[in-house]
Formats: sequence, structure tokens, C-alpha cells
Amino acid sequence: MSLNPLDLLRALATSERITPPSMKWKTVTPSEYKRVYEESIKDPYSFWSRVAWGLKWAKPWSIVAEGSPPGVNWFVDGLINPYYNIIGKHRDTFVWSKPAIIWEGEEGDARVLTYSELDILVNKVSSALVNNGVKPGDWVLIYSPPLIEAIATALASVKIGAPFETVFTGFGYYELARRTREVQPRVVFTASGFPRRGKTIDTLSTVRKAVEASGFRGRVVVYERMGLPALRENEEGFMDFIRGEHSVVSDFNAHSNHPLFGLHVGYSSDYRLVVHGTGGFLVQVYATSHWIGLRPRDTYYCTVWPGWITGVSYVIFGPLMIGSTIVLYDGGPDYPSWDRWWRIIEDYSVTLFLTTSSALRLLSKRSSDLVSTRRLDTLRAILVTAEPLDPETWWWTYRFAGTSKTPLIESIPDKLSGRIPVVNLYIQTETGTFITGNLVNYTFPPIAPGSAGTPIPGFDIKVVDSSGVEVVEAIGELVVKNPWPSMPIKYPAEYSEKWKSGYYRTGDYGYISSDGYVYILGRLDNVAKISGYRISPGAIENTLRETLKIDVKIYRVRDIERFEALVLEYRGSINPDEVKSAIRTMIGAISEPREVIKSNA
Amino acid sequence: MPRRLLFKNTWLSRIGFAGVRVEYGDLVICIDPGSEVFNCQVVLCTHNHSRHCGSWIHSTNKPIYSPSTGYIVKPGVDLDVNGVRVLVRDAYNDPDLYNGKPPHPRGFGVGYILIPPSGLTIYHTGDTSLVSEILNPGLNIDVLVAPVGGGSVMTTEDAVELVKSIKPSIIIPIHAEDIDLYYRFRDMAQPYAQVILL
Repeated sequence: MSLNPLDLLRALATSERITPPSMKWKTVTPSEYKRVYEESIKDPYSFWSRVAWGLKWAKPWSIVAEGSPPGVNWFVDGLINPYYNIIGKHRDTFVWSKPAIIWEGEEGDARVLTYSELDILVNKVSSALVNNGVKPGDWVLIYSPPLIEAIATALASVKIGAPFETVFTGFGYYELARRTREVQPRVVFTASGFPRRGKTIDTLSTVRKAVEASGFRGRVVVYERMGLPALRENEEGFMDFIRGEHSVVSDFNAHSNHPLFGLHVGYSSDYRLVVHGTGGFLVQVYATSHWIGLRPRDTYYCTVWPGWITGVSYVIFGPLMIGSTIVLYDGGPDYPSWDRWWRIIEDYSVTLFLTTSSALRLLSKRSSDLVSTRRLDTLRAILVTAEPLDPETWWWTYRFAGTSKTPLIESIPDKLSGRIPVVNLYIQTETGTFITGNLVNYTFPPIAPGSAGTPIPGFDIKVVDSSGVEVVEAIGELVVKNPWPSMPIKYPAEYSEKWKSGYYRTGDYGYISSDGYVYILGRLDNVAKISGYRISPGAIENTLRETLKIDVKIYRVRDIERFEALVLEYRGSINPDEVKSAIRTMIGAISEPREVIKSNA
Repeated sequence: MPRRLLFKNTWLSRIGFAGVRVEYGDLVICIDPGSEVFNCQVVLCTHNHSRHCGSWIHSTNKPIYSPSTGYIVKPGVDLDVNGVRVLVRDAYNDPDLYNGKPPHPRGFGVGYILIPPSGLTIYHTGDTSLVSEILNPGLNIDVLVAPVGGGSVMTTEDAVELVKSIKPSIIIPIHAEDIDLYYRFRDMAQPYAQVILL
């Protein structure tokens, strides 16, 4: 299949509209949805102001929003304690003694940490960060698989007003060094390694190379995930880092626009830092976490690692703000066999499962017995993100993972007729949270398989043609017409450029059906979406030019399983394997092209 | 299923048909290990049915605590076992449910609450019906290990009622011949507390 958005639309759009049996009584009609949605975007400032009262503010805002995009300040003059709104508020409630995190390592051992224990751990890490000179506004960088200690370090940073950046471990040392140079962290948290299909990924070596390449002089804190090797002068084991006397660290009261966290996001030219502010982000992530279905009694498993926006918003922040239990797993989905994720759902009674379309496509290619023999009856919804979910994979997921054994009205287990919602949601790092998708706890019209659902209330989402005119039932660019609370507070020129027409251009082709469903049809620019990862071709070109002194051209191609893949063409004397190897170690395995072609021209 | 579970510095794993192994530091205490006694340093038996503690308990030189052999325990007793506090609780069948001939009459078996120095509280109810004595243990329970299989012990529904009453942080269901009952219990109990199938 080509990259042509029309071809993709033909593959995605169908006339099917599905009401899962478990949602029979909560599903709204398209007109009911439209009424709620239109009301929300008629005056988005009032809408988000009402939503913002769901948080506790140390000092309420005087103005909901001021300024014009991209430089909009939300909740002006508002003062908020972010840690209280994530963890502290659960003290003296039933949530305090329930598990906050269940972690399972690839080897099979598991750990449970209650909210009260998490709070104690966060206080220890906060205290250690303060003792290492970390002050409000200083950055903490986290390069780690999903670990309790990584989450605690992120929360400890939030508690003391230090913004953090999580870097996905799929990125290599060169990318890590660039991020380190840019944010100038005081502390880098990492793990000594982590298992992947029984072998060890040596995270610490990558960090060491990045430290050397960036000239980083701060503290590297190493969690002893795979034992602890001999440490260097600037390194410290996590257990030593938090050992000793800890005074109770006061929570930081942040101005609404105080930086909360940042992520480097792929643009055509390179990866660029996008920073989210405290007040607006927390308002939006708390509300959307509730809307997508999370409740305090939920056990929630998200396979997206917290190096991507979904993993930050919907692992570190949203579920903990709600009081849910999160499940973390740091190994491969196929180890020891391809049913590992389904077993995790079964063993820990997972009620909400969030994963990516690519992952489901991979799973759907394996024997359906791997899922249909598991008992997934606790699941209430399967949430899918990162890229379009084709109807074929949607149906596979709905039937095999979404039916299970317990009969429900109009759900027939023996016929795999489907029972619970499988919903595709659309997110960008810049938006901070999901902005389209059927909402299990809010507006839930029937599901249109292949679509990314309907726009979420509060986000004025349209498709415009090349002259900026709104179109329906035609392919154009997906745009957001109103500012949203978690708009980035620091951003690159590329982001500003996207607001030039007065609305935010997502860079994705889109299509909205006559009944309001949004279809995402790939990028307008040359940014690639590979297995859900947003990959910057410019970063690959720059790195190879700087290090191997070669000029390259990068093309995107459609990939059946991974959505897109890269083809790289270069001129030079080195061989293609060297180019691949350089990309793998410096930029990261996730950026490795499917094909590297040496051009003779 | 996870091999073992770490909670408040204490490792928990399943052992035998209705048992649990508790590891704290160098100490390994097994409750109802069945015949899988080789890794246990201390054994607590809720009663002497063979699936819980077989006839080997009469010949082993490991320390045994039970209502009938070794160190004899009774409900209400408060023990120190190698630094782990052990509270002994009632566990019996309601005679009315068994035509006056319960398989676990009062006085035959016990339940245990273990409190290692980390402060974790583990309540293994033993083989019991949903009797009033077990509904309120008098302290917060972190881990409830409870039978769910019906027959000579609580039914799935009874066990869910116990969960609602005790409100533990996590529950590990045991004692079901029919594996479907574990899932049935999980699906019914999960809204009230975290069920983990160990």
C-alpha cells in the first residue's frame, strides 16, 4: 500500500457502527454526542474552567487564558501543588492503602507498592534530589525502562518543582547526549540494564557514552535492576542515593505555567524539546484520564513506556491522579511467548488495557489461541493509540481479546461476538493528551472501526483543505481550532509555525465522516510513524552527516505491520551495514531503516 | 502467573494446594505447604488434612505449629516465630451448612495472621466458612489469602463478602479444585480489592 492518504482512507473507513454489549446502556446517539460536543467548543474557556475545578488549587486563577496562540497562558495567576493533586490528595482515603503500582519483571517476579509506600519512596527521592542541589526549575532526566523507581523519580521531581524529561530507551547515546546538552539536567536517573527476551540491554553503557559525549557533570543515579557494576565517580547506586536520614520535603506550589515535564518530539528537521506547564497539563490529563474510563478501582496496564507522551500522561500522571492501580512490565511482549501481555491482564485482574495499533497487529498475526485461552473477563475496555487501527485488527481485538468467557446480554462467548469497547484514540506530544476517541466515561457514540473516534469535548477539531477551508467527507489536514489547556509553554519554531493560520495544524492528514468520526491518514510532512514512534528523518540525516560525513536521503514507505518504515539512500564509501549499525547505536534501534541503499549516482 | 510477589520487603509465593510461602530476610515460613516442605524453615499448619499438612509433620524435625502436632496453637494465641509475629485465629465450618457434620469442626483448624518486622500483615484464613470470627481481624490486612472453592470451605460468593468486610490491599485466592472458580472469584472481587493470581 502507498502512503497516499486516499488509499489509507479506503482501507480504514467502513459504514460499520458498533455498540459493544457492555456499553449498550451508556452509548449515546450521534446527535446526543453532537449536542455535548458543540456546547463544549462554543466556549472552550468556560468548558475548561469548569473542568479545572476538579483539581485543588492553592490559589485559583484570575483569568482562564490570555494571549494568542502559540503563546497562550492558561489559568493565569493560578497556584497549584502538583504533587498533592497526583498523590497527596489520596491520603486519608481508601486509595492510600491500595496498590499504586504492580510491577512485573520479565523474569517473572513481581512487586507491589501501595500509595502510602509510593509516597514514602517519593519523599526519599525528593530529599536526595534536594541534597544533590536540585532546585525548582532544574531538570531531571530519566532514561529507564518502566520501573517503580523511575516513576518515583519523576514524581519526586514534580514534588520539588523540578521538571523532568523521560527519554525512551530505544534511543541511542547520541540522541541521549543531545537531550542532555539541551536540558542540562542536574541528575540523570537510569537502570543498570533491563532484560529483553532473556538478554540484558545495557542501559548504563549508553548513558556513560552519552555523558562523555555531552560533557554532563551532574549525578548519574543507577537503579540496580540487573545488579550493580563498578560505578564511576559521578555515579551512585539508587539504594545509596536514597539511603540515610530524610527530612520531609515540602511540596512545591507551582505557578500554572511552571514547567512540569518535557519531551523531545520528532519534526522533519530534528527532535525538538516541547515543555508542558503544570496547571493546564494537569487539568487536561486528569479530565481525560477519567473520561477514557479510569476509576479508583481500576487496575490499568499501559504497554506504552513513559518515554512517549502516552506513557507520561497516562502512566506517570493520569491513573495516579485518579487513584487507580497501574501495572508496569519491563520485558518483551513475546517472552517467553506471545501471550505475555494477556497473562499479565489475567494475573493482575487488569480492567483497562492501553496499547498501540502496531502491537495489536503483531499479536493478531500469532495464533489466536494465545489470547482466546486466557481469561480476560475483568477487562472493561481496550484503548489503542499511536496510529490508525485498521478494521481488520480492530475486529480481531474485539473478538479475541474483547469477548472473553462471561456471557453478557447480547455477547456470546462461543461465537466471539465481542463484549467490551475497543477504542482508538489520537494524541500528540504537543496536545499532551488524547484529543479524539470514544470516551467510556463520557461521550460514547457507537464505535466506527478504523476511525480514531469522535473529537473529545473541549477540542475544536476540524479538517481543512489546502486553502484552510473546513471540509467534511474530504481529505485535508487535521487541525485544532481552539487553544487547549496543556498547550506547550516552551516549544520550537516548528510548533509556532503550525499556528500561523490561527489554528493548530497537526501535520496529519485527516478525514471526518458525515457522522463526525475522525480518520487519521498519515503525515503531510516526512516525519515517520513507525510502530507508533514519531521518528524525525532530519535527526538521522544530521547525525550521519556529523559523524559518518555522508549525505543521505530518507523516504517513508508503508509497512504492513509497523504502519510506516524508512528507506535510506546515501552516497559514500562505507557499506550499508556500517550505516545501519551507526543508526542503531547512536540514534537508536527504533530509527533503523528497513532498507539502506548505497547510491552509485 | 508471577513466580513470587514482593510486598513490603516480604516475598510471597504459592505452595501446595492451599498454601503460601512467606520469605522475610533469611527466614522462610510456610503455611500449609502440602508436601512441598523442602524449602521451608518453619511450617504453620492450619489443620492436618493431607493437602495442607500431610502425615510427614509427625516425622519432620522442622519446627511445626499446628492445632494438633508440634507446637500446639489455639485461636487467640499471639506468638513470636523467629521474629515474625503470628496471631492465631478461628477457622471452622458453620455446622448448619453441613447437617451438623462439618468437615472442619470448631477446634479442628485455625487461621494465621503473620506480621514480619516489615509490618506487612498476611491473613491466611485456613479452611473455614464465612463465620463471624473472621470478618473483623482487628487490624488492617495487607494480604488476604482465602479459600474460594466452596464445598468444605467458603464459596466464591462468601469469599467476596469477606473481601468486602476486611478490605485488604491485595487478595490471593486459594483452595479451588475447579480453576474456573479462581476466575469467578477474581471477576467478582476485583471491584473491591486487588486480586492477584499467584
